[in-house]
Amino acid sequence: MIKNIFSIILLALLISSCDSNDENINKKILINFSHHVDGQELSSENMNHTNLAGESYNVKTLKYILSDIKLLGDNQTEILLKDIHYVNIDDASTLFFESNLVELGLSTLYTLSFTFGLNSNINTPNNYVNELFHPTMYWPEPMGGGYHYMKLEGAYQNDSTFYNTHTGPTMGMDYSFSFTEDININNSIENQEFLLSMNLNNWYQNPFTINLADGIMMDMPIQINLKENGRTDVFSLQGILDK
Amino acid sequence: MYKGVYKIIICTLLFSCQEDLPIIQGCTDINASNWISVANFDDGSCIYYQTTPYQIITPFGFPDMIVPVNNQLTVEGIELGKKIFNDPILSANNTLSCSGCHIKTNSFTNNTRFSTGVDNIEGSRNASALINLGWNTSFNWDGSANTLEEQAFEPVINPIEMHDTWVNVENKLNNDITYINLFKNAFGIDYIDSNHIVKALAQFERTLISVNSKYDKWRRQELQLNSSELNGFAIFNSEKGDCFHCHGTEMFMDNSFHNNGLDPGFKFDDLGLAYVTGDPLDNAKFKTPTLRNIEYSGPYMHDGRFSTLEEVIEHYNSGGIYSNTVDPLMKKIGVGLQLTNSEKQDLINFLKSLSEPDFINNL
Repeated sequence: MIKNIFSIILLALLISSCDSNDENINKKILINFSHHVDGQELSSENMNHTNLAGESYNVKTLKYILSDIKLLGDNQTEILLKDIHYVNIDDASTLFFESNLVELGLSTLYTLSFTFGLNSNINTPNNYVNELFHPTMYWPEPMGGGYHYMKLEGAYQNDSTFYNTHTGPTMGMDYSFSFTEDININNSIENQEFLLSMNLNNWYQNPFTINLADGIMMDMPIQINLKENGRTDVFSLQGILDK
Repeated sequence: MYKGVYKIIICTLLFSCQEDLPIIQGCTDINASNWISVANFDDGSCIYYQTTPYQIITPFGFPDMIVPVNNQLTVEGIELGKKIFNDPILSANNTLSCSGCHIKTNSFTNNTRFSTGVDNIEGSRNASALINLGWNTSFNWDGSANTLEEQAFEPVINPIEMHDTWVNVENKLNNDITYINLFKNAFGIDYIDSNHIVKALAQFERTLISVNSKYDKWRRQELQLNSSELNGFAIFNSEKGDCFHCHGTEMFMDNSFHNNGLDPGFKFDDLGLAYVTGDPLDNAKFKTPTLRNIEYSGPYMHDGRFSTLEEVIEHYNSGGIYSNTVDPLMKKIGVGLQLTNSEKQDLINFLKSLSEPDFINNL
């Protein structure tokens, strides 16, 4: 009798241990990037956009870096999707990325997180010489060294007055910030696709109203305010149904 | 009766098969440098060409050099490329070599606004300096070539440059025993073709590296920049001078294209990048040149309109001219940087610290 009970328990343990492995799901995570101004498509020619300060503007350049893009699961599990992703709206190949196959558990609840920019541990001079962004996002050593987090540029007020919203490590300070958002993973579909949207107007509002300006790389208060605005509601994430 | 006829036919066929092919002795291995295509008996004479790999040491702060997998650098290939570069044999009338327009003492450009081809026709763009090209991701002022090999195809057949044909160039080189041997040694080929000619040229061009200027020595803490150069460095790397956005990193260029406000939109004589992309938003955008050895490589801009560095600085100091494709980095159109005379001089002194005399004298 005892023998039988022992055998049943052992068998049950073996089956349950097999189950947990079998039920892990391998899938790719796809992130698409989109950019708008309060729902408006970006305009590079006409002054179609208006910020909270009442300044009309257009967008000619938008380049930025995200780092440490990962999924956080329950039990403190972390799944790295990509170390660094560089977005340039003029280069369609940068407007999405696909992770390698990642192994997910049974849980459908995860948090997607990334760092906007590069944190100070990795944002050092010449740390990414072989990355596409090395020459364009370079941040001079006399200003702190490393790389811009973002270059957002265009004309404002009139065609020949330009703004340069450049964020980065002013004098070595770390103004990168984290974004996290809970997501649902659908275990019944092969690959999961998300759309990460940036509302450009929100860089200039909530909580701080910021005016467009031609040079802010050495302006610490503005860098701090941009960071706060950025972490508040510049980004939003939504799932896309598998095609 | 029929049986007999068949036998005769079969015998005839057999005898014809037995006719021996002449034995031609020689190297039958296609991979050997002395492969004889008609040889059918290997006599053990095969010689395999051996090249000596050439290692580029990546300079401080530079990416790994972009070298095509099918054109790895070798000592033999580089030497051959250097010989061709300096040989007018590439031009229709054998009077103009690559080095005729790309002169070593001018950092491999020349000091005229436009170069003159074999038919005495002047071009419309300033000859580019050939320096640190292995780190460029596109070539020519308008980015029309993606690799150095691709770029090297152009001047030979350009009617206003060398005005030759590749067939003619191949014939000339294949009639020259020196070149036949050099190509065999470098690439193991018996027939010299255009693909291997541009490969050799590209190999040589990749070795034109300048990273030992006064600035570099300062970076390596081997010497000190003077106070004017240091102030120029500070202006260069500040938003006041704002040079670094296009000429940043140790490469002093961004591998990108910009309209830096030289002309109003209605007066674009040269559409630059737009010639390649067909996009009007690329009108008048040109590739950023490196500022290394800039002291030697004037005149400046894609059309060589500025003779001196002073004129270049003055262009940015006055803010340039508006057009709808002008770069937003030209932040104050018509106003400019507003540097003082002293600051302008400091900036120029810093730019001159990027000069490497050994590069133009001893290469």
